[in-house]
Amino acid sequence: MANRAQSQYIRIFDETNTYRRWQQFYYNQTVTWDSVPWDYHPFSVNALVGSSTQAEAGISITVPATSEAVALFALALDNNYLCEIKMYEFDPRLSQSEPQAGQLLIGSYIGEVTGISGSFTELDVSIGSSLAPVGSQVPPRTFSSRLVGNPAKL
Amino acid sequence: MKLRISDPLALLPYQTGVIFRSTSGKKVKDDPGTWLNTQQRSVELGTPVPIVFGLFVDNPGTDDDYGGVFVSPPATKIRYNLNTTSNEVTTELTMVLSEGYVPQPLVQDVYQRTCRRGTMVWAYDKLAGPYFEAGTYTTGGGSVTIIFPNYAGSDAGTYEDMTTLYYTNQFAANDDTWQNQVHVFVRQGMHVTRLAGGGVGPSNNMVDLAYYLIQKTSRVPELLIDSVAMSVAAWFTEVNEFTWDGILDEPANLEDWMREMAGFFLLRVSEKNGKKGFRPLLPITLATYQIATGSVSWKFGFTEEHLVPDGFQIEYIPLSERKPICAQMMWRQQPPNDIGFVRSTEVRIDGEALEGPYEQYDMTQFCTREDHAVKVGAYQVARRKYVTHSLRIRVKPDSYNTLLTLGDIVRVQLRRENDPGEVSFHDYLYEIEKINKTETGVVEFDLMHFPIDSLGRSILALYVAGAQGTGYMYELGRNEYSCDDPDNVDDDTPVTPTDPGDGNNPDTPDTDVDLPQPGTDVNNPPNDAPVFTPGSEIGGGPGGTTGIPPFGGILVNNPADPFDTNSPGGGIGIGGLPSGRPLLPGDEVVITPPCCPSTTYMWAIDPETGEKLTASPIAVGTAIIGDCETRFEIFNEYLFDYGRAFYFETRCEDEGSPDGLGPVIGPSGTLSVGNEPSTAAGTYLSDTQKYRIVRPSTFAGPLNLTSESAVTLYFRTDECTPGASANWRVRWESPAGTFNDEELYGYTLCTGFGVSTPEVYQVNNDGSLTPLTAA
Repeated sequence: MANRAQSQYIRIFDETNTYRRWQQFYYNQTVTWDSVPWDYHPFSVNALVGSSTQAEAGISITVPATSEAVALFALALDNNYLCEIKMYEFDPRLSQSEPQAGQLLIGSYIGEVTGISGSFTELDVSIGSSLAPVGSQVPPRTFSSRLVGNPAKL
Repeated sequence: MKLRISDPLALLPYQTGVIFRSTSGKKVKDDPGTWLNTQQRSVELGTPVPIVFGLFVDNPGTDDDYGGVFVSPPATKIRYNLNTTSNEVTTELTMVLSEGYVPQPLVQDVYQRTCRRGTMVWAYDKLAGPYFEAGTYTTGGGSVTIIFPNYAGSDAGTYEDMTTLYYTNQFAANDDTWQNQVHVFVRQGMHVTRLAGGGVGPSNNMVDLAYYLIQKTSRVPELLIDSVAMSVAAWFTEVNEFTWDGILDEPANLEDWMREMAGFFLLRVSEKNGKKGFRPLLPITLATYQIATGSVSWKFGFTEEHLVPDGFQIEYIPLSERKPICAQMMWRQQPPNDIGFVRSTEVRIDGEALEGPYEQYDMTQFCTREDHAVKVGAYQVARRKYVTHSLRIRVKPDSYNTLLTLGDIVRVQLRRENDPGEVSFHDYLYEIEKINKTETGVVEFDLMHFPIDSLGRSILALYVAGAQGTGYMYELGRNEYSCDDPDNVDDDTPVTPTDPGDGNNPDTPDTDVDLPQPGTDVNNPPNDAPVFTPGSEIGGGPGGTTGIPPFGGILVNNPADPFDTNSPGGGIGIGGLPSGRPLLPGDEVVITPPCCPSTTYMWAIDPETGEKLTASPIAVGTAIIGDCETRFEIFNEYLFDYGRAFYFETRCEDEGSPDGLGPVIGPSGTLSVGNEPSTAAGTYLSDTQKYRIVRPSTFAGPLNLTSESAVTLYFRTDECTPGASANWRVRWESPAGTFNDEELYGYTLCTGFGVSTPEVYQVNNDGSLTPLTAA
């Protein structure tokens, strides 16, 4: 009989800095994985989806609306921070006190924080691409007074 | 409330791009007689800056030249000069050829209406040509009249990251074509990063164009682009010669544009691990990027053992998408150095849809190769015939958690025993279109039917790989050029670039309005966003950049709801308090509740911590309508103790509640009790002092005061009659030795202490008590 457990890790970062590393499996512990520390913070990811369809609207993370989480994701939304989610699979009989060296990465997702909603106690954070669904017009530029002054009218 | 949006399996063929439609696309105009001779058009503010993208591919000695774009650039500035003596008109124009950098066109590739003539100058990132003053002018002293346009453009504009062209020509008398359109055949379009082959240069690869657009719109960080998938897709289109040669000047949503274009290049837009990219619709050989037509092997086989209950869902593609059609492929025959014209090629499976129905796929905006159009058509007709269904399976976690990825081929073989004595199998190959890994461990796969022949080869791949156009190219059917300048016709040198000293507009006013960054202007103060650095605690005020900065309190200035005020209004009023000293036993407190009838409760608390000192409050009285107050006397020694504090709560009468009372209102303000009496006796004043406390009955044993100013006395005794007047007096002596008495009221306590010997305390200004004893 298979014995599986899953742990999830999220990282909020931009081009130069990582602002938070959270894991939701090792309760009240800061664990080391990939040579960096991951703080405990409860959260849940609805599902990790990989798709050949561009119609997918990303994924959603639910976190308790702690002041830290609210501030973090509000800033992430303001500043186009990226969010990376990784899901690992391992055998819980071997160890549950720290990440196992041989745990398997079974899914990952990277996206921008594209939206936040929720209640007073819970935040739903949408992770995806700001390319969809509207905006991003092509061609990217239109003729403007700055570019061409007052053009001739023929 | 959360909304859960279902994702019907029936949409999968459309979502994945297996079924696609041509929803837009600008059909090239194919009437040279009128189009080339039209009036010169001008730039319209607010319209897209056109992107001229493409690459002319010259295959000498064959009819297989293709690509390039015939462009009619709009003008930004003009000058028409009429010599009224010779009746000649000299035209000068500046035009925007394209967004970005487009190399110099050849002289022979520039037309004015249908004629190769005139002088051209090219520039990038600035206005081309020598400076000229815009407008309409007459010189020569004659009397010829020509009606010129009134608006000639301005000497302004940065022309940043644009390719511009200057054109001038002199037109003979009575030649009224001086204001006709200038055209350019662009052999090398805008320079972009070439994903297939590397470097920066002209390209006819749609994936290069998509990559450029993604970058330019600045909507997607570089990290969210699947560069590997983009590179594979670019090589796929390159190797199979699916080319994009056209002008992108119609506004469109980038996502929609990518989706539509992907279908025309046998690609689909995919999202792998959150990263966007293109993936081929057909199996390919990764080493060569060619369509794979060999036997297909599957990566994993699913059986009943893997499925969880209700883990199988099948959706057949509807009849409307299955009927045989004739795909009418519209494409553009692009002769070298001339206007392109529309061609159509009908693609059908032999013997089917001979009389239709016809389904049109308009690729004229960008497709200049018949083979390209035919292969897309072959995919469409074969897909209709052979791709029959899609599947969604939910399976328990297994080795495929890490093994399978998007695009992999899997086999689903499920035993079916629905007929008595007969066993059949659902046994097909599928391509993985979507993988959904849930927190519970269950994995959901969306799969698209992958039809194979008896040799295990992809049927669609075979159809597409084998599809070829007729190769027939129509003659132009146009007369010889009679108006060409012979020097231009044979001039295959590039148009002259602008002199370094030219092309800078003398006056380019700044039309931008830049709002200051927060914190740099007193009228635009810094926002209150918490300072957030890596690894730091996140602090700061509520909200984010637009939150209200903390100001030390809660909202207090909201207007009261007039219908939500308890009679007689407000909170819990407290009256009857002694002035100038803390609360002491024997004091009578008057509570004015916010409503009547109501019951008032008292809580004893630790003034330091606010902790309640009893498990439940003490009901101290009720108030009724018409006498809306509660009076009570501090009576309980246990409850009342030195150093404590009190507050009150009220519950209004509510017949609808189980105990007949409504929710708790309060708390009230806090009352403090005096401190513990000092054990050290005060330093008494001498017996000769005037003021003394005496028993009224005996006037014996006078108690001296330690001070004569602002004295308050506190008595503890059982020597009183409850409800009766106090039996203590203040006596003082007059200088003549006469005694004066004043009876004391109010502060006697007659129950609860068990004090047999009367005690008298002097209440000091700081609230402490000094015991007074007999002198």
